Amino acid sequence: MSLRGFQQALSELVMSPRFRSRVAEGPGEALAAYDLSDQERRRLESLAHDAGMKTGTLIHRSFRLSMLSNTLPRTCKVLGTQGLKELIDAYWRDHLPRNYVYAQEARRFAAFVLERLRAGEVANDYVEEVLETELALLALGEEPPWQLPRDEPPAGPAGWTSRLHPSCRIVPFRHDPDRVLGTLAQGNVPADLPVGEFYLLLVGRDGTVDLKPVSREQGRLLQAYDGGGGRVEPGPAPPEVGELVRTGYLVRLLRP
Amino acid sequence: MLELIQPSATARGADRLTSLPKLGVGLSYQGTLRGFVLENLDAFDFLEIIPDMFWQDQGPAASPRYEDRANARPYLDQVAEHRPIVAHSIGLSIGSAELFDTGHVAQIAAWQSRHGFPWHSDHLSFNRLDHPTGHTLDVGFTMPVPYDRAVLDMMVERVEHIHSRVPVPFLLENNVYYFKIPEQDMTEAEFLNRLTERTGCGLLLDLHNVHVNATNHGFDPWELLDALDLTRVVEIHLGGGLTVDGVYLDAHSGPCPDEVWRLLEGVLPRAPNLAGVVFEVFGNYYPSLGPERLRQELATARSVLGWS
Repeated sequence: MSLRGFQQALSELVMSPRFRSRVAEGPGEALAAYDLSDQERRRLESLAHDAGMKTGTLIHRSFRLSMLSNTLPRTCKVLGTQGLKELIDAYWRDHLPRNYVYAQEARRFAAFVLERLRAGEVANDYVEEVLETELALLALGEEPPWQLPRDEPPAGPAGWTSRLHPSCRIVPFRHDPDRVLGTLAQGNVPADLPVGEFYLLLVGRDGTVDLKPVSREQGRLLQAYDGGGGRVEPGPAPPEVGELVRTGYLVRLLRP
Repeated sequence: MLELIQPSATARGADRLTSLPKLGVGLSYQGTLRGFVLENLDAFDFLEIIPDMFWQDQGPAASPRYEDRANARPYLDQVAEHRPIVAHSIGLSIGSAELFDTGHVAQIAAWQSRHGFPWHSDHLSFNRLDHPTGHTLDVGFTMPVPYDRAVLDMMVERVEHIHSRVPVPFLLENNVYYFKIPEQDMTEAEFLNRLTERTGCGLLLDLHNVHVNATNHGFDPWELLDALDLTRVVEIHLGGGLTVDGVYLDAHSGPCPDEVWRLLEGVLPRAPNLAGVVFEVFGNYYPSLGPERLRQELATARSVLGWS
């Protein structure tokens, strides 16, 4: 049975109007790469002319776009219609739709955007901080609430390990996060905000996430304790760390 | 051409369909309905979930492959204290050539055991496939399969595998299609009848899908419904749609059209094994529908169904 080849070609007809045109104009060449029976070839030739295929494309694209607009709505907004369209077109050219898991598609798209940003191919002052915030929101939405890592305490010399609480994320901003996210919440795109060093702390609790701008000092400290296994401290916590441990944003674990 | 008639599975399948609990009117769960569900338990008799929304599938190579989403279990446990839960999956892609996900079936079996679904269902279509690049891709909607004898044989084998793993009836939903595959061996009704006859599986009759197909392809919906063996229908789906560029879409975007209510009225007396009628609205359209209108749709379904 060559059903596999038929489904591959049919999916391509739905996902790609360009391929559809190629099949309509020259089916022999366009379908040559697929393992097809004569009947399947006739079916695909006919379907390339079927007006309903346009609807298939519309649904396919709407669904794929909705995976991003539902998980990364602020990023989509801050990119603007044209910026989003250009990035989506480029992303879809190179990345096939792997599955219907929204968070996975969002992370793949986010990695693509961040790579473009770092290569200087996307000029947008706000997208990185907004995107990192939404990735943190996604991660916290999936974390069991206030659950410490199962592998604590890590191996190593005796002492204390301090680290960012697993239900917290710290995101650096180049603009005041209150103003950036507040503007987006009102349906507008931020513009001309003063540049500086800012930090946003995200705290997941009971299925919701609180967003708390924190001072530069606290932000730097929390960032220093984020990632990896945290920091090993042989003795008592420095006072500024102790304060963050008391609030619950840092956890401090004794290693035997 | 004569078709070799397989031994009938009706004897083992139909009995299971006739003994199902008559649940009544169900609501199809979406994330935006989370609050509505708990605050309006009186408005529906059971909750239908897409179980795939409650877990993370890390892919067949991962171990563990499936992880529950945060708060999934407490929420479902809370609902289950008040209402039965039924599973309507989107992850099987039963029509995919050379790709049958037995891991997904095992996960459904595990969730059936945990949550006690009286039946479970999926779609008569494919959405996943092996791409020539070697990756698995997902087209993102329910693509039609040809109603051919070879496809029927493939489906029968797969349904039998599901029956062997999940100890409650399995239903397949009739598809919505915007383009028609030419030169098929069977009509949609013939294909569905033979599939249910040969496997003993049930039918999830989506009346809005029937209405959408009839509207877009210009046929009388009763041509299909009259030809279908409606005794196999265990569940019915209702929903609303919208028109884009002259095409009526199964968008689950609002109230159920009058035509679909009339189809429901006509089907009910001929579907003796019906156990539930479910109203579907997509989460992003719920805010425009609103809780009052949603309650109204559910109340209308109860009224038409007429079960006390």
